[in-house]
Amino acid sequence: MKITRIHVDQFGKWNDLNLAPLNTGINVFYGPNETGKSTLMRMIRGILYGFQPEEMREHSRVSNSVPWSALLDIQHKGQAYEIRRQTNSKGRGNFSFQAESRGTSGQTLLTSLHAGVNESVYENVFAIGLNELQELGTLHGDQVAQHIYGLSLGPEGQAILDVSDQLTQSRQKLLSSDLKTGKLVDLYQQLDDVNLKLGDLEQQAQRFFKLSNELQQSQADSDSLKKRKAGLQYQIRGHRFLDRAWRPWQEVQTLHQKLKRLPAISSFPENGVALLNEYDQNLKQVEGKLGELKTEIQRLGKEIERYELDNDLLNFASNIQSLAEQKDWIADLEQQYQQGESQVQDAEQALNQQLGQDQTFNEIRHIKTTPDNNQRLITAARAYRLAYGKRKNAHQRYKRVSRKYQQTLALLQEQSSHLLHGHSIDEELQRARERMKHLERLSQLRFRESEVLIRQEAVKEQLLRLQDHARIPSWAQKMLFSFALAGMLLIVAGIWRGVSDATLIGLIFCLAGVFYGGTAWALKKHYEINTDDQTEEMQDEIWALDVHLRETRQEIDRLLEDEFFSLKLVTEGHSISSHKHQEKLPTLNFNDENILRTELLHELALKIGELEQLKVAQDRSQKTRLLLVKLRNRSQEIQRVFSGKRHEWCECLKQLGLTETLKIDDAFQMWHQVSNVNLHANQLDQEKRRIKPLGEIVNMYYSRVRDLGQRMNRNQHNFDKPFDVITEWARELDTLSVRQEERTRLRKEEQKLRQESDALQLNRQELEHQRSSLLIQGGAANREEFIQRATSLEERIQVENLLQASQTELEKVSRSEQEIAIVEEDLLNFNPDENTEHLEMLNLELEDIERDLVSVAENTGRLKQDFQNAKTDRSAAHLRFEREQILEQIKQASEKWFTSELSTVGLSQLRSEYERTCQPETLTIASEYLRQLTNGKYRNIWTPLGEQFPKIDDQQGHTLTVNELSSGTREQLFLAIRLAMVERFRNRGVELPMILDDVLVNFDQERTIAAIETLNAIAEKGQQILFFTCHLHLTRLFEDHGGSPVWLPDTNSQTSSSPALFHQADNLEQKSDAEIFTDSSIIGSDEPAPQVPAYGLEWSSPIQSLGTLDDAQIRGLNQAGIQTIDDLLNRDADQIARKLQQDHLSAGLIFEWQSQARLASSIRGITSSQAALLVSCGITETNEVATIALEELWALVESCQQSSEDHSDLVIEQHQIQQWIHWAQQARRHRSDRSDTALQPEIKPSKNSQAGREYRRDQSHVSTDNQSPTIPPFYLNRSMPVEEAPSIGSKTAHRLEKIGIFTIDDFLQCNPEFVSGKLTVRHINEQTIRQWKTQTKLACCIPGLRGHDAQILAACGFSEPEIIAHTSPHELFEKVKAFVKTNKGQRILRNGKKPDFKEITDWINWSQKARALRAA
Amino acid sequence: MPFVPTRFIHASNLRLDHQPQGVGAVSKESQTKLEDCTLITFEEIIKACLKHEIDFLLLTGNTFIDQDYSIRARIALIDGFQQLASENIQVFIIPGQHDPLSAWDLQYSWPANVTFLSPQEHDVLDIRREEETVATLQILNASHYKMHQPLKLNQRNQLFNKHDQRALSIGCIPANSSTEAATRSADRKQSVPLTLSEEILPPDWQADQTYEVPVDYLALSKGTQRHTFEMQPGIAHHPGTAQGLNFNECKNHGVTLVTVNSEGLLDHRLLKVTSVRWLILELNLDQGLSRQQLIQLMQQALLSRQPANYEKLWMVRWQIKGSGGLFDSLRSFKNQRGLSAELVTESKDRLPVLIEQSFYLQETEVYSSREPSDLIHLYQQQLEAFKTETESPLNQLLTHTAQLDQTWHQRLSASVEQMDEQHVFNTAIQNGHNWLSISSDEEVHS
Repeated sequence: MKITRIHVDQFGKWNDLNLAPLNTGINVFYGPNETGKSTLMRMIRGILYGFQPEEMREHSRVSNSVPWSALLDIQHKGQAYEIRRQTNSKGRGNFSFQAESRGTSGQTLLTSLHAGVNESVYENVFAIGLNELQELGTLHGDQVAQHIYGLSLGPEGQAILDVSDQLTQSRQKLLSSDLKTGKLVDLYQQLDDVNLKLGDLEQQAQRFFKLSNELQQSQADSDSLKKRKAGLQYQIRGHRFLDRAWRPWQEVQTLHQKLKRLPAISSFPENGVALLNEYDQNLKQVEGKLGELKTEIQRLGKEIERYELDNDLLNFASNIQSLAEQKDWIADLEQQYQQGESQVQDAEQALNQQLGQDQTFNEIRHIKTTPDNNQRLITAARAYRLAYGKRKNAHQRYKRVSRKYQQTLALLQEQSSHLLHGHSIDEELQRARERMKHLERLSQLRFRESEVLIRQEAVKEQLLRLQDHARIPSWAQKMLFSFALAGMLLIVAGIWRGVSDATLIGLIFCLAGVFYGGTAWALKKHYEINTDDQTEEMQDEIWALDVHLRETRQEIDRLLEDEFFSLKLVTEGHSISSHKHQEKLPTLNFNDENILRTELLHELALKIGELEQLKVAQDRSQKTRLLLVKLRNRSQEIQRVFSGKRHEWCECLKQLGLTETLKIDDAFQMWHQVSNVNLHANQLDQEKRRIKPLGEIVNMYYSRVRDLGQRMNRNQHNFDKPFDVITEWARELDTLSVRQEERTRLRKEEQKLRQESDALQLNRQELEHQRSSLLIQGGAANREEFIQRATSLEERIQVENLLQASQTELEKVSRSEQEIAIVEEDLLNFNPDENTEHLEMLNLELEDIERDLVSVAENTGRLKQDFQNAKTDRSAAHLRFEREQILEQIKQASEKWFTSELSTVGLSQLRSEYERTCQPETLTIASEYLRQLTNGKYRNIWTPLGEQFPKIDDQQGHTLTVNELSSGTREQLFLAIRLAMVERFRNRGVELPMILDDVLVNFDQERTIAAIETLNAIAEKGQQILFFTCHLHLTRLFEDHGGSPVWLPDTNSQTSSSPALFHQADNLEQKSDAEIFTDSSIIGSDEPAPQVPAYGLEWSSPIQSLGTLDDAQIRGLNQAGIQTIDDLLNRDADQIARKLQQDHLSAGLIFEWQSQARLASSIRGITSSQAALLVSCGITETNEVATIALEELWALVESCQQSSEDHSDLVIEQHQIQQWIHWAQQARRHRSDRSDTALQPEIKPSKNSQAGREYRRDQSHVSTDNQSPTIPPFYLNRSMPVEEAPSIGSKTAHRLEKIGIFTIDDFLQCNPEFVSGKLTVRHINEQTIRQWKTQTKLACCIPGLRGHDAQILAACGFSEPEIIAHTSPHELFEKVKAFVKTNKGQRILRNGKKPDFKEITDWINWSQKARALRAA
Repeated sequence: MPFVPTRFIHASNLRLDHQPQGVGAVSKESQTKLEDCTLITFEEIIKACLKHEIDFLLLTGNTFIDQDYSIRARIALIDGFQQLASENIQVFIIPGQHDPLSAWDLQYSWPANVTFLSPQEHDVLDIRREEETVATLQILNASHYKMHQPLKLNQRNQLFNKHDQRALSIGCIPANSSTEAATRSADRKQSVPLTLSEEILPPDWQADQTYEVPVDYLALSKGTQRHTFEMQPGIAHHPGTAQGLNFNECKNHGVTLVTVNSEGLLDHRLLKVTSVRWLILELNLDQGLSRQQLIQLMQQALLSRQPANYEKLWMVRWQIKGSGGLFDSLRSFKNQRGLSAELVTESKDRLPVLIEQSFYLQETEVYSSREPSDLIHLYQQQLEAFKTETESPLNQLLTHTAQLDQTWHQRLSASVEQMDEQHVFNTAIQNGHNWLSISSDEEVHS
């Protein structure tokens, strides 16, 4: 079907429009907004498919109910038809047609025209506006989708899908995607369990090995114990046996010993012992007697020996006799001699004592100690001592005086040197006195000087005073002078007067003057003379004093000159010799001089005193010197005397032969010594002479004795004591004679005894013979042996008996212990105590061992039991077997898993391959178109298996979803799909024209051109395209590409313009357009400057013409009896809502429509859509428009427009608004208003506004999306600042802005985790941000949803609009109600109204209208 | 020179008390038998030792598995050794990979007839029977044997033998002792899979060994399979494992009785002592075969094998190839169980052993006649491409599925090693056939 002509009798704003002829290809219609392009599109659809109900309603509301009627001239299947549709009261209008040839009914024609394309497909594919192009949803209508995708899922695809489902399931069964469930998981779980148990087995095995070791150990223990036990038992037995055997053995042993010891005796005489005893007794007696005799003989022999004689002595008996006689005499002599000798010794000793050490006797021997000499010595000594004493005295005295003199002299010397300075005393004294005088004089002069000075001073003062008093003061002088002058003048005057008039008076005056002058003179004179006299006197006095003073001073100076230096130097201790410094005499002041002077005076006085003393002392010393001289003389004399005496003394000593010494005592001592020595020497000589003969006699006697001794060979005697020897000798001689007699007597006695003993000897020999024969008989050597033999014989017999018994016993014992051999050693070492001890210990040990054995046996038993248990324990094998089984199962399962994985891989590859190669034709064609439209940027459109959304491959091979495309590209994509669909339809014989309503507005220049070329190409393929646009540049572009655009006439002015003419005057029109543009630059730009713009709506317009209502709403309103705008405005919104009782038609919504209708119908120039915009801006009343300031309204509208920028037909310029205001002031009123306002002009608007407010609690909003008035505006757009998002205050928004989140869009795209980390605010965590995001998303997606509503919904757990949309209102209401009661809910609501059921229902409805987040 | 006549049993890989692997659910009784199989086998070995009056028993490696911590193994060993001790039969134990010397717990007083040889020991050990050396035993280590060969064998033989006979010289190669530590720590918790490697002899063994160390009998111990190599002179022999523990070890197993007679002939003979027999029976299931026929077939297959009196249990795996309804019905465990139960009851009186059966189905290609649909074709191509393009496809799969965490990744990659890659692929392809063919049918219908 090709449209060749469009003719509108009456449709919408169009009437009597004729557009012809149309191309079979592309037709471009240009018309500004509000021209009626969309209306035309609707009309064409209406003709084909019947008018929409809202169109009908709109129509029915139009007051002048001219039926809507439009017709199209079409070419269809080679036939030309004129099809027409007219509104009728019911249904969707009447269809009628005229054809060249008859024969077809209207219905068949229509069916043929539709060719299977139903209305919705037509609407979504053939006749599309920007709306359809922007929404993917429009492609999802069942029928459309079927066209696009339906065929894509061929049986093969289905199979692939099924298989992949199956695979997913089986994979899930084996191992779920979260790795938590599935057969493999179970198996591995089991495996782990078994492995765990097996892990225990390791320990168990070790335990077992330990156990077996222990068992072995314990068995070994038990064995060793048993062994030990046996050993012990054996030992015990041994010990016991020993114990028993020892005693008999011991006995046997001892007996054996005994036996051994006993000699073996073969023959022994009977009663041998008795005989022997007898013999022995006899023998003893005999021997006793014999012994006695022998001793007797011996004694006698000894006695005889003792009396044996010494013959030598007898030979010298006579000599000895003589000597013994002389003995007493000699002894006496000897005694005498000894005495004399001791005396000599004493004397000698004394002499030696007297002698000095150095002296020898001979030295002293020659000194004659005569009494004369003694006398002489004494006298000499006396004289000498006298002289000595005298000399000593004199000497001492002289010394004393001399010393004294020396002292005095030294003192004197010191004093004089101190005082005299080399001068004599007198001289010095004189000078001191002289100076004294000088000084006295000086002090007098000084005194006088001061006196004179004082006097002079006094005189001077007197003089001065006198002068002062004497002088007349100067003022008196002056006065007096003036008087005198005045007097002179007066005189002159008096003269002059006197000459002329009053000479007399002048004279008087003159006289007075003279008088005064005179007086003054006199006075002066008087005083001045007096004083002068006195002054003179005084002057004289002063002079006199002055002279006096000078004299005095001169004298002083002289004196000072003389004295000063001497004085000064005296005080300073210098000599006055140097007078060189005289000139430099310093002028001393008065006081210093005084002090100095007095000091000097005092000093001088002292000096004079001292000098005088010195003089006296000198005199005295002189006297002492004289005395000294005298004394010296005398002492010299005495010395001479002493020398003489000394000489005498020495001479004396020399004469005496003594050693010369000056000391008298020594001399006398020496003398005394000498005399003593002499005395002793004499005594000694005498004594010596006396004892000499005595000595000689004694010595002779001694020698005689010694000779005798030597002769007698008696050297043993001490010949030093000859008397003792002699006595001895005498005594010896006596004893010798006695002994001789005794010996002879004893000899006789001896003889007798010898005979007796010989007899006894014989007797004894006989006895001995008898005894020895007996002993020989007994086999013994002697008696002891014999007796022993006898006893031993006896014993032996006894022992032999005992041995017999013991041996039998021992045998018995040893028989009792067969196995135990008797070890001699043991028996030897045997100790019964030890043995019992041992035995006890062994027994104890045995007990211990037995106890141990029992415990070990128990232990062993237990271990054996355990061992047995472990041995029979087959759990390990069991477990391992089990594990193996599980492993097998795992193997199988994982094999399955791998198989399915592999299949998945294969399948997915298959699938992708399939998807890429086996796409439905539509998409293949669409891909081509898309490539053209996007200049080759996007190539392929495909859809995954089983899904109904297209995917796009771009140049680089990336696959993108629709949401990832930019909005322009998306439009291109959808356009391409539609073009493809149309092409497919066309290929199937559907030849419906395509109507595009400004679909290229969002294309850029290049793509627009590409699109135009594409469209042209399609048109060339035989597709008729009607392209409506309000963009001049598009029109021009089409023109450039060979199209000739049709300029649609303005609806309001078209009445007067003939379409044909209009069409013909194409160029002209353009020119005029240009003119109009220039004109309209004042008031408007696009519109061809209507002088009086038409009303957007008429009262009679059907409600469809409101434009913002959808079918359902229109239907609803129609049901409520509202057909026209008039109807709508006549009713109260609440009333209507109540009547409608429909969820989606709230009073608020209806009020909005009413306002829209009112605005559009009351104010010229406002179309219904513009009215909708205004309403969305919050302006509902005409007078609001009339009263509002231009700027304010513009601001409102502008902000609304920004949110609906895509709707180019709604572009409102400022000048329009100006117009609106202008026309609003002249607005017509609806009659309901008129009537109402007549009665209650104020109430209604307020009521309305109240109702309006109820819906729009928040007046501040400006952002709306007026796609459809039933859907309230979106309160949140992605481009809004983030602060607008629910729950986000300015503070948080500020924080978010800091981290780069400025808009809602940013916020929605943010990563909560990241943001919460960045924010570092404690109360904002990841969860919070997620919650906010959910809220924001809700507010963004669901129209009419406020921030707090979104908060409530999010808090109730609704995060997706879809979920809300599918929730029943009651359920949601319950949830919300419950939530609102909570604290949190209260906090969100604050003081706001609780959401009621209606509101919640609205939310659900709006949710159904939710826009996709991306597209938002 | 003739040998000193002797006789000994060589056993390896006894793996006492080690669990069988790859066994599904079995009856209680069978499980007991399975668990005890190695022990029973050991008892049989001991019996055989006594019966054949051997001189010594040679155990070369893996007598038990250390990581099993098995008590029963220990007890069984002690019992057995004691029995041998009473008959003066010596036992020579060479530790293997899984029973290192440290695991033998040498503190424990083993019976006196037991001698342990360390793998590091290279001295020649004389095995004596009353004063006479009947054989020499020496551990040979690939890296050491050259250096530690102080005496040529002939010289030794001259030294030790009074007669004109020489002792049998036995060389023993311990199972890779060098890698022992590493492997032990690596699979501590895992069950111990024994290396089935074909590399039984160390590399360049053949070349050097024959010249340098002429042993008469070379005891091998690597792996579980029985095999013998003729050497010049002598033989190298591996008795295999005495008791198989899984279906991979289903071949002849037992111990080797080596007899050396005075003629210098060395005879080795397999002594079967296994208590559990692993049987893999293959069957081709034809399309038209009925269930009864199948049972008959199976019975035939079973009865064709004679049970030995020492055998207690047969583990039977039916590898059934085929297709068709009956085949499909076998997929259900219930049917499998029914079938095996029936089989057991039928052959009970003729087979005095327990029988445990499992089924391993292998579907033969039934679609070959039909043209596979595009999808299947594509799918198969995809899989094939995946397999050929990636190096280790299964591991690739693991990394592919990113949702796996560390533990699971480990677990699954561990199981990858045990998996038959081809099998997985086959199954996957098979699955693809199953799933995708239906749709192709529908396509045909539509």
